[in-house]
Amino acid sequence: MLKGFFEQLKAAAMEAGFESVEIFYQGGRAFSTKIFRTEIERYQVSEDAGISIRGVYDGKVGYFYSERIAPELIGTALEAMKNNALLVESNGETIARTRQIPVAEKAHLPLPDHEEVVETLRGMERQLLAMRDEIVDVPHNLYAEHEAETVIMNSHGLALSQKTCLNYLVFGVLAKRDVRSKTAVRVATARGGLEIPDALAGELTKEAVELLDAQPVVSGVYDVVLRHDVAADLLDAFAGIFSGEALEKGLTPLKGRMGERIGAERLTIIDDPMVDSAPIHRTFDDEGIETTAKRVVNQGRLQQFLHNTRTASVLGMARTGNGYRSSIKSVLGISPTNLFIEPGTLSLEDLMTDVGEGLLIIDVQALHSGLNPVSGDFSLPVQGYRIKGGRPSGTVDQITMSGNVIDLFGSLIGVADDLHFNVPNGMGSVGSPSLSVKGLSISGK
Amino acid sequence: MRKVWWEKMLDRVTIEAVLAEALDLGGDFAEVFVEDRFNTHFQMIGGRLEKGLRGNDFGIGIRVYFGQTSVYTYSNDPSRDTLIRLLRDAVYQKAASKATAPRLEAPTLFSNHHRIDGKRQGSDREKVDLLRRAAEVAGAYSPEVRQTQINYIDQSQRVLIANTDGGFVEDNRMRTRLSISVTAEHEGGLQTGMTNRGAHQDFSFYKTVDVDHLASEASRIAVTMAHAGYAPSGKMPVIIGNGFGGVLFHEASGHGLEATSVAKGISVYAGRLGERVASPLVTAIDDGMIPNAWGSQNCDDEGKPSQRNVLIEKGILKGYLVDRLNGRIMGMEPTGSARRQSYRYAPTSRMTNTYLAAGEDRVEEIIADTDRGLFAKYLGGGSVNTATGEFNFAVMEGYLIEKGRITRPVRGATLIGRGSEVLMRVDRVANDLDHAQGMCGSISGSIPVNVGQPTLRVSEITVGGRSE
Repeated sequence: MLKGFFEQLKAAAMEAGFESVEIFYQGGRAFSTKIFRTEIERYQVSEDAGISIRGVYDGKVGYFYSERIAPELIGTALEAMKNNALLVESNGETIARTRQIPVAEKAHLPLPDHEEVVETLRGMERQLLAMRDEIVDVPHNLYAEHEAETVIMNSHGLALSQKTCLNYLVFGVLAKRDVRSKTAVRVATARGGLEIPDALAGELTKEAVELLDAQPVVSGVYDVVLRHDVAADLLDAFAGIFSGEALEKGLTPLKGRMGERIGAERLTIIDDPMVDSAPIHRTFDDEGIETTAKRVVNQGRLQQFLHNTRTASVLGMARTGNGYRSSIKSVLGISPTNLFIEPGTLSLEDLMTDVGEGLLIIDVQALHSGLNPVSGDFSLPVQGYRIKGGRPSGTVDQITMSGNVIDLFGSLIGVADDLHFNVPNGMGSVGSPSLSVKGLSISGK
Repeated sequence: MRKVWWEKMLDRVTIEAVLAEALDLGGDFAEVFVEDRFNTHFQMIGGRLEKGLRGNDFGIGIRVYFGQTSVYTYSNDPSRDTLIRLLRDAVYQKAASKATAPRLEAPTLFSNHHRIDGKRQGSDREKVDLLRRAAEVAGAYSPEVRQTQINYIDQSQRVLIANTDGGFVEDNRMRTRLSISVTAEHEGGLQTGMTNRGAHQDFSFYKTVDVDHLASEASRIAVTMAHAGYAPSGKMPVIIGNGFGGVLFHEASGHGLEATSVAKGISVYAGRLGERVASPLVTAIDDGMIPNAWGSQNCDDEGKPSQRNVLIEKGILKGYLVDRLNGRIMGMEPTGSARRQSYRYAPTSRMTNTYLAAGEDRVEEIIADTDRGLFAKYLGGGSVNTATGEFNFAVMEGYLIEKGRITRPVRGATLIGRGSEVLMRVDRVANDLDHAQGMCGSISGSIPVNVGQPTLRVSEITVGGRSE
C-alpha cells in the first residue's frame, strides 16, 4: 500500500519538476500500563502511522509531513514542499544516493502477555512496600512497549525497511519519615521479555530510605564517582557536542579540536549501531545510509564527529550513517545510534576504594536546563553518598555539581566494567559504565 | 450539506458508536478527542534559512473511565473498525454496561474570546522577513557574536470533543512563536543567550513585538555571559527578575498544585487547603483566559471553559488545578485545567498562564537592601519532584550583589531548593509584573504555558556555582 502511494507520489513529483523525492514512514503499535495501589491506574494501547516527504526542487530540499497517508494529500504536499524548497537557502542537503543494503535485525524475546505484565507490576508493588517500613507508596510502577517499522523509499530506487522493538519498566518508591520524604527510581530496559533483576527491589528501597537522612556537604571541590546511570544521563545530555551539524555551525566546545587530546587516556567513546547490550539496533539510518561502528574518542583523542550526508559533504568528511530524525515531524538531523563510553575492568566498588574520600552520585536532575552543549558547562542538582575510607557512608542531597564536560573528560580517574544503556529517546541510545572523576565543584552548605 | 472539517474524516455516527461501545464495555464515562493540526516551522541559522517544514497532525484519542481509573487509546486511522478494535483491546476488564450513550446533534463551537483572525496567518515571505530581521539585528550586535539561530513556529489546531455526558464541542486554537538563540565567544569560551515571544494569536501578533529589542537582548545576554566569571557556591539571598522568573513558582509550587499528583496524595500540597504554604507576600494565579496569552485557549482539552483560578492568596493555599478524572477522586469540580499535547495523550490537570501578583516595592530598593547575594536577571528552565518538593531552575543571566549594588556578571548556576521552604522565604516583592513564554512537559506531554511574576527576593536559596 505504501509502495503504491510512493509510486503515485513519485510520478506527480517528477511531473511537478522535482529532481528527486523520498518518503520516510514510521508506524507501529504501543502499549503501556501503570499500577498504583493495586489498581490499574493507566492502561493504554495505540497504533500510529505517519510519513515525512522530502523533495529536491531547484537544488534545495522542502519537507512536508502528514499523519494521514492518502493519495489526496499528494497535491498539497508537493505544493508545500516546493514553496519550502524555493524559500530555503542551499545548505548542501539532498536526497543521497546509497546502495540497497541487507537489513540485519537483532532477535528479541517475544513481548509479554498484557495480563502477565499487570500481575508482575502488582507483585512488584507488594514486594517494594514490604521491604521497609518507611516505604509508603510506589508512585512509579510502569511498563511500556513499542513496536515500530521504519520504511524509506526514494526515487533513486532505494527501498529499505526495518522493524524495531523496545520495552522497559520503571519503578519508583516514596519513602517517608516524619516530615522528610524521598523518592528513588530505576529504569530497566529489555528487548522483549519481562526480566527484572533480582537485586532491584532491595537496592531501590535501601536507597530511598537512606536518602531520608541526607544532608548537604560543605561547598568545595570533591572527587566524584558517577554511577553508570548518572554517567549515561550526562553523556546523553552532551552527545550533541559530537554532532557534525554543531561543528558546522561552530556550536560545540570541540570545534577546531579534531585529532587533539580532549580527555584522559582511559576515555574511549564508541558509536556502535549493533552493540549487543544496547536496547535498539539499526543497520541503516533515517537517510537509508549504512550505519557504522566507530570510535568517536579514542584513548582521549577526538577522532570523529557524527554526520548525516549533508554535513559530511559540506565539511568534506566521510559519511558515518548518523542521519536521524526524532520523528516524522522533524527535519533530518544527527544523532548517535548507540553511543557509549568503553567499559574498563574495575568494579564500582574499586572506583570508590581508589577515590578514598569523595562523593558517589546516584541521581542527577535538570539535564534539560542546567547544562549547555554549546559551552560544555553544567550545574546540576545531584544526590548520593559520601565516600569515606573508600566506602559509601551517609547520604547527601540539596547539592549541585558544576563544571565543564571537557574538563570532566580530562579529569577521568577510573572507568568501571558495568556498562548501562539508557532508554532510547527516539533517536538512539546512550550508555556508560560508572566513572570516577577528579575535582568537581560541589555547592551545598 | 457542506461537511465540516471533522466530518471529512469520521462521522457523527462513528463517534456515537465509539461512545456506545465504551459504555457497553462497562465504562461509566467516555470521551472522544479528534484533532487536526497544521504546523509550520522555519529555522534560520547564521542568517540563512536552512529549514522549512510544514505538516499535518491528525488523530483520535479515546478515554474511558472505570470508577477512579481509566483506559486510553489513540490512532491516526479514523475508521470505525479500527477505533472499536483498539477500544476493545484497551478495556482489559469487561464489566456490565452501566449507561446509554447519548445521541449527538451538532457540536457547539466555543466562542472565541481572543482576538484571532484566521485570515491573517502571514505569508511565507512575511515570516522569512521576520526571521531575517531578527538574525540581522542579533548578528550585528557585537563582533563577539559567533552564531545566531532563529526559530519560527505557528500552528492552527482544530479539536472536537464528544463525551457521554452529552458534551459535544469544537474549538479552534492558533499559536505562533519566535525564538532567538545567540552564541557569543570571548577568549575561546562560548556562551548562549535566548529570548522568545509567543501568543495564542495570528501573525499580526508580531506588530506588538519589538523584534529588534528581542534580538539584541539575546545577543546582549550571550556577550555579557561570555565575559562573566562563574557564579558563587552556597546559600545566599537571590533576587529573581520579573517575567521568566515565574519559572520559580512554576517549578517550586505549580506542578505540586496540579490534581495530577494531589489526587493521589503524593504532592506535598495534598490535604493542605486553607494552610499557610508561602509568605504573605505571595499570591499565585493560573488564568487560562488572559486574552491572546501563549497558554490560553477558549476551553480546556476536555471541553470545559477555561477559567481564572486563584491558587494561593497572601500565602494561604486556596485551590488546586483540577481535571475531570482527578476531580472525581478528590470530590472537586474541574477547573478548566485539563490539557494534553495532542490526541496521543490522555489529558490531565496542567497550568496555563501562571503568575505571582505584583507587590509594592521598587526593584532598586530591593537591590539596595541586599548586602550580598545573586541577582538572577533571566532564568532558564527547571524541574521538580512533586512528591518531595525538591525543585531546581537555571540562571541564564546573573549578577553578584555586593553591599547593595549590582557588581559583576556571573554565569552557569542552577538554583535548588524545596518548594515549600522557598515560597516561605519570599520577603520582598516588586511592582513590575511581567509574563514570559515557555513549554512545560509532564505526563500529558509538552504544552505552551506562560510564566510570570514581578521581581522578588528569596531570603535564602542554594546557588550551584563553582567553588574556588
